[in-house]
Order: sequence, then C-alpha cells, then structure tokens
Amino acid sequence: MSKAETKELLNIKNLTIHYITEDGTVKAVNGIDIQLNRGETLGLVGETGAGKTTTALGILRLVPNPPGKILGGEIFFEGEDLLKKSEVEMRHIRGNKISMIFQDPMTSLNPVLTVGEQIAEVIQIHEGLGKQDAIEKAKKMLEMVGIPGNRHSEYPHQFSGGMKQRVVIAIALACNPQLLIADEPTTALDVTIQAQVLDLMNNLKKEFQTAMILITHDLGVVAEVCDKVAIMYAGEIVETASLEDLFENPKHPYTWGLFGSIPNLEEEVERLNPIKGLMPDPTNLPSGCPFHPRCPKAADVCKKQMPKTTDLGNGHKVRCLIYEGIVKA
Amino acid sequence: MIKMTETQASVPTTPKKRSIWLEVFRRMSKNKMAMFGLAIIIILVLTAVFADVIAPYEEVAIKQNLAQRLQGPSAKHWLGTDEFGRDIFARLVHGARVSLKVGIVAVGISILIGGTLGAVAGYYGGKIDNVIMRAMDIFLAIPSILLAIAIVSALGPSLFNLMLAIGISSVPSYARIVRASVLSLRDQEFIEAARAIGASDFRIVTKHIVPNALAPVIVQGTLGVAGAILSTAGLSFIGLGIQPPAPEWGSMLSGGRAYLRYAWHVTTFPGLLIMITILALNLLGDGLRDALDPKLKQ
Amino acid sequence: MAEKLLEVRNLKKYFKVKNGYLHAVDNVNFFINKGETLGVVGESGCGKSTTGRVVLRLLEATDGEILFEGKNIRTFNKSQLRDLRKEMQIVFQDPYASLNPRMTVSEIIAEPLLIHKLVKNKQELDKKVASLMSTVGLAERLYNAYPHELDGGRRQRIGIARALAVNPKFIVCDEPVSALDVSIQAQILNLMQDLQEEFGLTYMFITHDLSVVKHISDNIAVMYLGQLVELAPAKELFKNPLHPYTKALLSAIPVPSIKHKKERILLKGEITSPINPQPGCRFAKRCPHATDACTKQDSTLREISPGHFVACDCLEVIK
Repeated sequence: MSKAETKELLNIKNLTIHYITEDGTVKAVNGIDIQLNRGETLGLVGETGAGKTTTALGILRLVPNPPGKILGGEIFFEGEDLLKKSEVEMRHIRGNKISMIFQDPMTSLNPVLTVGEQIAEVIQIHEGLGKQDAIEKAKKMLEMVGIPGNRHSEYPHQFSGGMKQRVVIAIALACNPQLLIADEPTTALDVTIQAQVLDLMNNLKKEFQTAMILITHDLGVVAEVCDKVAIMYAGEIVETASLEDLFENPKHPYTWGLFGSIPNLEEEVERLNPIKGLMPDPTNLPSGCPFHPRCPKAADVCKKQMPKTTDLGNGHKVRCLIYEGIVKA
Repeated sequence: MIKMTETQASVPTTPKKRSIWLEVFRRMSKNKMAMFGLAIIIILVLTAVFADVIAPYEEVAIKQNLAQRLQGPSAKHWLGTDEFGRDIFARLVHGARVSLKVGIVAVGISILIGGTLGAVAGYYGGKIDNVIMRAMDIFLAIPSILLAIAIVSALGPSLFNLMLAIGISSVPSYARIVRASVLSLRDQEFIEAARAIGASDFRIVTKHIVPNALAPVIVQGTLGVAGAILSTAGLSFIGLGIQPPAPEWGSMLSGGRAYLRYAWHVTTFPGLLIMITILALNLLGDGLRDALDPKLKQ
Repeated sequence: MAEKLLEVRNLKKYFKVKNGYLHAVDNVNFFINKGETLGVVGESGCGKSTTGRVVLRLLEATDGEILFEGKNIRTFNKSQLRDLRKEMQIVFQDPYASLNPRMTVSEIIAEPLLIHKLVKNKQELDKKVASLMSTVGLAERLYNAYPHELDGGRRQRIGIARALAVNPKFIVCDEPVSALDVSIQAQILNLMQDLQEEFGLTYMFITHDLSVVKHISDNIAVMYLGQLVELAPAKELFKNPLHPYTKALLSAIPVPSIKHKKERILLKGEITSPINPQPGCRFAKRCPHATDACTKQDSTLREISPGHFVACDCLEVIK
C-alpha cells in the first residue's frame, strides 16, 4: 500500500475545464482521469481540439483566465492537490518540479537573450545559484542535449530548428523536474531531426527518471517513446491502456478509426479507412457519447446514454457502451 | 464514385450570402464608445443633409443683422449671435455641410491617388516601388499643413482647391498603408493560387488584393476625415479656406477670437463642435480597427 | 509502354540572396507517366516545393527544360501560358492561406471558370460549381459560406475543386494533407485517389510524410538540398533503399506499431548551407560512408536497376 503510494506521481481525478466566451461555452476538458507513476511516460493522443493542450495547461494551472476556467476535479501531484495551491506555491512548482516543452521551438525562446542566459534563468530562479554558477550549469545542460557548451553565448537565431528544440529541452530539464509535459515537441521538426530529438528524450528520461506526458497526434511517436497511452476525444479520455495493449488490442471505435486513418508502411492498403465526419463543435457537443455521430458501431442508445469507464483489467480502461454490454460489438 | 458523408454537428448553415461588412458591424456594435461615435457622425450627417430645413441659409446664416450682434444664448438664438448678428446655431448647421464635404472629398482624393500609388508600388516592387516611395518620402518631409497652404496660395482659395490641397497633402500616408498591406498580401498563397488558375495582374489586384487591403485604409480614412476637418478649420482660420460670408467652423472660430473676452459663445461653440466631431470620428476609427482585426475573427 | 506526361531535364532554380545564390533546385531530372503519381519527399528546405512551382512556371527556372506533353513550356509566351493553366493545376498546403478570405466558396470555385470563359451564362456557371462541389464532397448549403467558417478538411476540398474546375491533366499537390488531422487527412487522400481514377489525373505529390507518400505514389523521388538523390518505384524504394540519405530517412520514421523495432540510422551533423554550395555530394557532411572523393565532384543520377535511379558514387563501396 505505502509502496504504491510513493510510486504514484500524478493523479488527476475528474478534471473539467471550460472556456466561457460570448459565443458559447467551449467544453474543452470534461471530467478526465489520468494516473501516472514516477518515471513513466504517458502518450496523450488526439486530434485538434480534443483538449490535449488544455489538459496540460490545466496541470500547470496556466489555463488563460478569462475565458478559461477549471470548473472541478483534483490534480494530485506528489500527493498534494495542485488546485488548492496558492499562485506563489504554483510558481515554485512550475519549471522546477513540473516543466513544459511547447510545440514551436521557434517562438518559445526569447530572441534577445543568449541560450545560456535562458537556461541559467530557470536555474537561478529555482535553485538560488549565482549568475556565474548558473551559467556553468547551463553549459553542462547544453552538452547533455548534444550542443557544445561554448555555444552558450549564442542567440537563438544562430541555431537550427532541431538545435532550438534541444535548447528548449535543456531549459525544461535544468531543474531536474519530476514531471515533464511535452506538447507536440517534434511536430515542427523534420523526420531525421525528430528521430534525433526523440532519441535524446528517451535517453534523458532514463537518466533522470523523469515522468513525462507526451502530447501528440502521431501514433508512431507514441510507439517509440511511451509506456502507456491515453486517447482523447472531445474533452474525454475514451481509452487508456499500456502501450502493448493499445496497439495490439485497441477497444474503442475511435482508436480503431485512428489506426485505420494512418497509411501503413508495413502493409499494402489500397484505400485508407478513415473516420467519417468531423470533430464535433466543442461549444455544442453531441448528446450521449460524443463520438456517436462518427461511430460505425453506434446504436440509438448511444445518442442518449453517456458511457461510463469500464475497467478491462491490467490498467486497460475504455469508455464505450459496447463494454458495458449495452451495445453489440 | 465519390460520396462523402458529412456530419451535421459543427457546420453553420449558410443559406444566403452574408456580407463581411455586416459581420464587422455586428462585432463593432459591441463596442459602446464606437457606437457613440457613430451616432454623433450620423446626427452630423443628417444635420448637414437637412441643413436648409433646420435653418434657412440666406435669411439666418448669411444675412447680417448688426442690431443683434454678439448676443448671448437665448430662446431665439440658442447659441447666441456673432459679430454680424448672425445666428451661430444656424451657421454651425450649415458649416457642418462644408466641413463634412471637405473631409470626405479630401480623404477620397488621398485614398484614390495614394491607394493607387501604394498598390502599384507594393505589387510590382523593385524600381517602380523605389521611385514612388522615395517621392512619397520627399512629400512626407514637408509638413502637410504647409504643403496645403502652398497649394491653396498657388491655386487661389476656393472650396475645390481647398479639398484638393488637403487631399494631396495626405497622399503619402495612404500610399504607405496600402503598400504595406499589398506587400504582405502579395506573398499569400491565395494570390499564388489566383496566378495558378491564370488570373491576370489586373484581376489579381482588383479582385484579390484590393478587397483584402481595404480594412486598414478604411480605418485610416475615418481618422483622416477628422484630420481634414481640422486642416480646413486651420486654413480657414488663417483666411485661406472657405471665404466669408460662407459659414465654416474654422472661420467662425477665427472671426470670434477678437471678442473672446466679452462674447465667449462666438468661439466656444464652434470649437466645441470641432472637438466633438473629431472625437466621434476617432472613436469610430478605433472601433473599426478593432472590429476589422483578423486576429479577433473566430 | 507508359506515356510520359511531364519530363524535367537539368532543372535549376537559384535565388539571389544577400551573400550569393541559394541553390534551391540544382540539376534535377525526372519524369511522370500519364495517370501516375510521382511522390516527391524530402525535409524542409530540400527544394521540393520550389520544384513544384517551377514546373508550373509559378516561378521561372534558372536553367533546364520542362517538357509537358513533349513541348518545352519554358519557351511559352503569355497567352500559351494562360492556356497551359487549364492543363496544369496546383493544390496548396495551407487551406487557410490559399483561399481568399473575402470570397465565398462558390466564388472561389467559379473564378477559374470565369477566367477561362468555360461557361456561357450564369445558369451554366451555377450548375458547374454545384457539380464540382458535389464531386469533392462539399454540401450544397456551403455554397455561400466563407472559408473562415469552415474546418481545414472542407477548405482543402474547396482548393481541390478550384484546381479541378479547369479540367486539368496534371496537378501539383504541395503538401495537401500536412495541415490536417489524421482522420481528415485520410478522407482527403481517399478523395484524391478517387479523383485520379475518375478523371485520369497525373499527380506530382510533394510531402515530407513518408507514410503518406508511400500510400499514394507510383514512383518516389527523394530530394536532399536541391538535388534528387534517389528515384524509384514506391515499393522498391521502401524495400531496397540505396542512397545513404534515403536509408537514414526511412529508418527515422516513427512507425505506429510495437511489433517491429527497427535499427535506426541516426544522422550526425547539421545540414550544409544551400547558399553557394561547394561541388560534391550535398549529403557528404552527414553521410556515414563519405569519402574524400564525395566532396570533390557532384554525383550523377544512375540507373541501378530498371526504374531505380540513385545519385551516389560510393554505392559499390557501401555494399
């Protein structure tokens, strides 16, 4: 019991985040549960507007308010509820215990500061080192992500896209965080550079025992890096499972659809098998199961009844009426 | 065969073509200050249009009545009378006609000339751009009021020359604005797409570039009307604008300044009106700028 | 024997930049058979989009020949070029930037019809636009909608309908699905395949996504820094990549499968600058097999097996 408790790093329960705008309420995140152990990597997969980034911002309590509002739920990090923390306490956690990598390395660095100064800034804030010591540590961090330490005095524009994303990773890891949230960290990069960055992240993760939430839409990236996967659709987590279970034995019709949409490099397929229709409008979600208008298995009851989470054992959970025995598979 | 199913969930149905301007107005209607400005402008325009109904021109606004000169506000003369005994309210009403006409026509002239020059400079670039824009720089180096004075002095004071002078003196600012937005539009993919389907340069400029470059010009134009009214008043004040006895806000201001000590109303009301008009135009211009900002779209 | 619709010979496109010439496309040769799809892959800055635009004469080539149906279109005058626009079209990457925000869906699709006077009157125009909309799967009620009211997938359908309006033979598809979500991406890819079948279209499909390119192409050209390094039938390229860059590129794709973990070739070093490049193989700096000879002279494209072309002088050494 006590052993299980110390293993657990993050436990999100029933988190709900809405954006309240003049044109209606955007139901971005609707009661999600996420559980993550130390050193584990979770892939958060979904399409545009599924609520992945909002979830990440919610964990850091950085949802822009207004219009965003965390309406309910709990976010236990190292056993304490982040939603009950004061802003000052949160500031001490951000960048120190939890840090975040954003999608676009081109805009997440300040163009008028040298990369060394930007890494050192985080170290100075959270570790109370002096400027010189912080710069020294910044050099070490640069070397760790594969950039010569003496380039610390260069400005971001002197680096290529892949190098910039390495700098961003160095900043994120500078304070040895317990949890790293990476929002589409390689989407803006070319494949060969992406391969380098993913490789680097895999190595650093092992070295520092950092837990990670990797937000992506690319199931290929998930297969390379993650231990478990959560599939998000319309603000809900429709399926979570270990990497093996999700790829070998996906359960939710939306997960099937995602796999059917990707051209497969191993097998020859004449035609892809996409999910019909579009993502629903988050201000006006369908009744019942939000996926029912696009679901090949949908029955009438799906329009009315909201599926509950069914535990299939071994951490494989799915939200679909098929597994409640209500709809035929 | 190709048959794609569409889910109805998120799609707004559009039965009729809706104007983009209507949408801009809808967005602007949420801005109280802009609507306040718009209301004042509408009142002014109506006043100018129906000036003859409100106060007969010859009898009240022009005809001198020295027996009643410099009277303060009263039931008969709401805003009092001026140094020739003319009703100030009536003269302001007729002055609105002149001011608005000058403002709108002058801005029209600058948009026409400046817009064309800017569009040509931006679209073709290179040497043409260089020649046009350096000429504009030289223009900009001369204070616009001095330029207007020079033009009016050369051509002689008349309503048309006044409009021309004020219009020409602000050509460079419109040329710059249009050039800047054309430059940013020129590299957009939809311009390349138009070229790919074989559209001519003329079509690309008129159909694709101009409609998209309009927004900043409209904003600048609204603010420009205010500037032109101010310039007219300034030129009239020094005697180069509208010639007496025609009523004009600036010349009324100038006529009353000799009596400032004992007949405050002669200068105060024209001054106040100029101020309110400029304020209203600026509020409207700012509101338009916010409503047209593409970043606020969706 | 398949008929060549487009052939490109020694194509060059240099851009003048501050300190010299950027060799965006450098001596590229390829051809596309009628009714087939040539996939062009490469990383950002490899010149694939520039190649597409030069082929359409949206950009003027610096040197080389572009033969479309046997005629060198580089010599075409203005009016010939205008007619050529009816034969060759383009679908753009960004469905947000490639549609005029001030025009409605029907106006955008009608424009090419009006420019080339392909319809006689308003009724005929309306009918043609409506039929194009149904061909690409756009609901009729979107007739008067503005692009910003629609999602990326629908906008891309508008772009495809605009390209189809003139009934072209050849379409350059410049990353048409890169900006779309996977489920929408699959819908658009299926649509494009259906249209190819129905109208006998020939595609030049430019993308950085290797799984997409394998799915849709008959032949694949791999570009690196302005040069074509390998050209082969799609299956052959994935089964038997020969150029060291192609090998590294293919090994870098993250595969959505846990069954099979492949050996990854991690490239070291950064990309050579394409501005005033030195002669020699552009990939030499990152190539694990590079020799001194590689940096001395440009490698030429050779046919190794039928239809499989490679530009690498060290092939025999690597084997």
